Amino acid sequence: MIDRRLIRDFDWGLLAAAVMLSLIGVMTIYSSTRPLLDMQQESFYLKQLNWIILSLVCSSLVLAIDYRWFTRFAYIFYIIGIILLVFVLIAGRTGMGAKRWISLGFFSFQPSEFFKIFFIATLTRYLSGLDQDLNLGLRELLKITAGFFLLPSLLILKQPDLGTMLILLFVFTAMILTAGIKKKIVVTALVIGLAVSPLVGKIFWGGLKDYQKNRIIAFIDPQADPKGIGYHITQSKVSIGAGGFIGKGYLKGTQGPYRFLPENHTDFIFSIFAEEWGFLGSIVLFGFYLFIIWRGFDAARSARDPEGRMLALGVTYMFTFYFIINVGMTLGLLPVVGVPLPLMSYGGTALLSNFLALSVIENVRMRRFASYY
Amino acid sequence: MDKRISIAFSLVLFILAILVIRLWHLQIIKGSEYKRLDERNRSRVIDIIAPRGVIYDRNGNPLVKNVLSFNVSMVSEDMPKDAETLAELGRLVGLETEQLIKLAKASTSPYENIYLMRDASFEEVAKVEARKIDFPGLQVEVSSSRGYLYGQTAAHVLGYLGIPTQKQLESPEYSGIPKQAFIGQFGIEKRYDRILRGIAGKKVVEVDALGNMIRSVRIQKPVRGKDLTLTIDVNVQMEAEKALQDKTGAVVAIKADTGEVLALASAPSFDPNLFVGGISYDHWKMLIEDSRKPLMNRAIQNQYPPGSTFKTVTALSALEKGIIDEDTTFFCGGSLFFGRTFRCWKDGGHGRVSLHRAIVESCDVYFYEVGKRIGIDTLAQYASAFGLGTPTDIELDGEASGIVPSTAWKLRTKKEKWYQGETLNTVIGQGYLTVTPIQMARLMAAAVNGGKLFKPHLVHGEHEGAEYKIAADIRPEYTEFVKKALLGVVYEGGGTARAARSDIVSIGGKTGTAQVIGGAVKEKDLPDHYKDHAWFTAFAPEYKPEIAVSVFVEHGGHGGSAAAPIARKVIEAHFNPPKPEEEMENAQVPEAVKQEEQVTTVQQQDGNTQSRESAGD
Repeated sequence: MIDRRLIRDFDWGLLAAAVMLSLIGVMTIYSSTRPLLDMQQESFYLKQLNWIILSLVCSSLVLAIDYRWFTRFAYIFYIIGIILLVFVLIAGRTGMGAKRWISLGFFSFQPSEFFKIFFIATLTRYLSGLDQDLNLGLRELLKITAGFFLLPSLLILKQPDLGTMLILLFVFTAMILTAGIKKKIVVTALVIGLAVSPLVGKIFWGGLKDYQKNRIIAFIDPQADPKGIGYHITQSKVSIGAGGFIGKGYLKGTQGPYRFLPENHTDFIFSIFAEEWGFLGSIVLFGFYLFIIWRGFDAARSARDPEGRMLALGVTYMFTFYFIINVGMTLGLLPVVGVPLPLMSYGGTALLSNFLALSVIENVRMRRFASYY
Repeated sequence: MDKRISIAFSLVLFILAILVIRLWHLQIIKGSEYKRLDERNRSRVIDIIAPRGVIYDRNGNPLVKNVLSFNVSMVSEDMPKDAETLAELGRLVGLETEQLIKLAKASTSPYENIYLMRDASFEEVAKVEARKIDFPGLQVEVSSSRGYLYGQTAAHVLGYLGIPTQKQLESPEYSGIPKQAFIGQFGIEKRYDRILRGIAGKKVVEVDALGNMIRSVRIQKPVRGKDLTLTIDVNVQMEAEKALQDKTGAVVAIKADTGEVLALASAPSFDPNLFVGGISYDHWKMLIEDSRKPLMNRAIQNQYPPGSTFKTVTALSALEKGIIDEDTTFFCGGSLFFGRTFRCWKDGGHGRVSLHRAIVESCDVYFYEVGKRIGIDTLAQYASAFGLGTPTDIELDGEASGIVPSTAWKLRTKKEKWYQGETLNTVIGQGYLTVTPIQMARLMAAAVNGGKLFKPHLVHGEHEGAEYKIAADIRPEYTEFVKKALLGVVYEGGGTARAARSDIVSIGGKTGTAQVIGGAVKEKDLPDHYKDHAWFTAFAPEYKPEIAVSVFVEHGGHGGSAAAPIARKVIEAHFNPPKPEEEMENAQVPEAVKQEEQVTTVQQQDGNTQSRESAGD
């Protein structure tokens, strides 16, 4: 029997906002890929719609299982995740210069998308296994970093998938900071960080692939080569800026269908949305995202145990970073790192992973009063 | 921990605020600027080349037509990067891989059009169209070009079109012409380019990022160029060129009473159709390296000694100045000694000759005697009055002026004084004196039309009422006298131009045989390029002359045998125009120019479906 409280504490608002955003995403994908000459409408929007349905089905399955089950088997998930990350490097499908996909014949997916959730669960399992009021010392910190973060981040960077690796880093840092860390370490880290950043920056720079370097150069000075590397940023700003206050109107946007803005239905979907719906529409869109983030933090705060709290928090952080980095990137505030806009960007694995993440938040919230069985 | 969650949420709100401020900045503060950029993104201005004015001959026969010319191009950015595809592309457009690489390297920007094929045939275009999908960015552009309906006929008059040079693009005369337009680069096409080219239109279109045309926003229609009617009679012109075939030389036929040019031919000629859509390197090289210089218009650009044809001027000026009269006779013994021996062309001499006979038989000694008595400056004055020594200002570029020697001229150019002996050379059209065939045609007209020196012209209607000035004030009885003698040249026994006799019209004229090298060497012993130049200047008919012709054959030998028959044919073509059927046969309309088209250039749309990149699944 399902506990009636599970239904009562289900966050319908969160679900509504998530479904709403994903449908706005489908609409925007449709608009940005609409044909201009007498060609067929490409089926991206239909595929995305199918993925939404699939995601909702998978999410409800996840909801049926108590979140503590995830944390209990977190290490196993983690190991499976690592194996997949290794596998993708060996036998993955190459697309756009990176090995990110594992092809199963009928469909392909990015293991790193799921690994992020496994990672959050693993970290939760570890952190909540420690004392209640964490005040992590340096030793503990190094142990966690070496034990959980280092290997997967290197594997992901090798694909290469800088965006996902950065998200992982941010989520990791945010979770550690929220869990509690000695003030001394934070201060020392900041000081050392500032002192060695030129050196690290240089090593980091040397290790980047050319296109990654170009993205950073383009970010710093998009006008340097407007038809080359700065093209993305310039066109994205043009799309957003041309939207003005009320936007051009739905299906009236040009930057996408005229193909001036590359990857308009994936990473740069917000630019297309902002072009058609303007400042007003964008503020409403931000409202939806803020609402989801708020519900995430709220779920964490009202979780019945540290595990639930940490799990909801990690997932919320992940969602938040995706949102901020993607929008910041389209607005020309951050370098182009190839991070999709959660729920809206075209891409099945990412969509599924986002819905699963949100269902983790729901899971924690639903079971805040539930007895442990 | 709750506290830290609150801090985290506050941070999120803070960052969101930054995003909103940035959004405000982009969409509200800089919104209009980005709107402009957005429109500029999509808008392309395409030039629509105006249909060029058609050029007609005096009887309304079109001499040129506008035709479509197809160019295959690609921007260097789109050039295949791998050797195999590049070679494949080369095979399609008929270029070597190295040539393709050279073309790509020559472009200044990655978005500049590289022309792989100019003036491609329909078959070639069809082939390219069929393979377009394999070479993204390959496009077929249509532009207007010219077809010259009569091939080589009047090539030097009509001229040809070519791509504007950088200098021309920068000059105000060519301001506003589209970069890919062909403009007149020679002949009437060049001189009247401004009138013929019309005003190019513009079309503002929306394009996508790949340059595919989505829709047109605004069209400013081109204004068709004005038509031009020439004074040329294509039948006379064709006859002149036929008569000049295999020779090197020129023919100019003008209307004696207006200065309208009926025919202006220069041989060897060239086919201006070679220039359609841009001349190929091989053809250009061929034309430039030909030792007979087919691109040179010998009727106006080259100057030669006039030989005995100049005796007309000598006779008229000596009569008017009273140095001789109609009845003055001199004895010709085959030569005359004046400082040195001056030979007559006839070894045995002409005996005692009058002026009339001296002209008819072209006796040199008679004119040497005149030369002993006439001052060079008097002669120069009359020669200039008959239009020698200055360009005729016909509507063609590069006209030579010729030289009329005088004491002042010699002092200025040679820093030497004039010797009377040199006058003896000048009176028979040798020595320093040089002229152009068109000057001689005009001179002939003025000699027989009562002394009116017309400005020869090619464009009909531009010189209504025909501009002229009185050449020289010569008493009518003298001009009549000389005219009679000129008729005698053709019709009397011993006349030097008996070969010019025609069954249909009375022709008068003066032969000339201009020496290329001096001395007593017998002409028949000379190699071709030392042979004399042959001249014949003629008019017809006897009463109220309508037409004046000058014929010049380089190294042709005797004027009477080499030049006179050509003049006869040209004059007969004027008085006896071919019947319509013949005309049809004569006009060899090249196959390629038959498909006349309306003319605009628009970049071909290409409907390639570009595969999209997807970063998702």
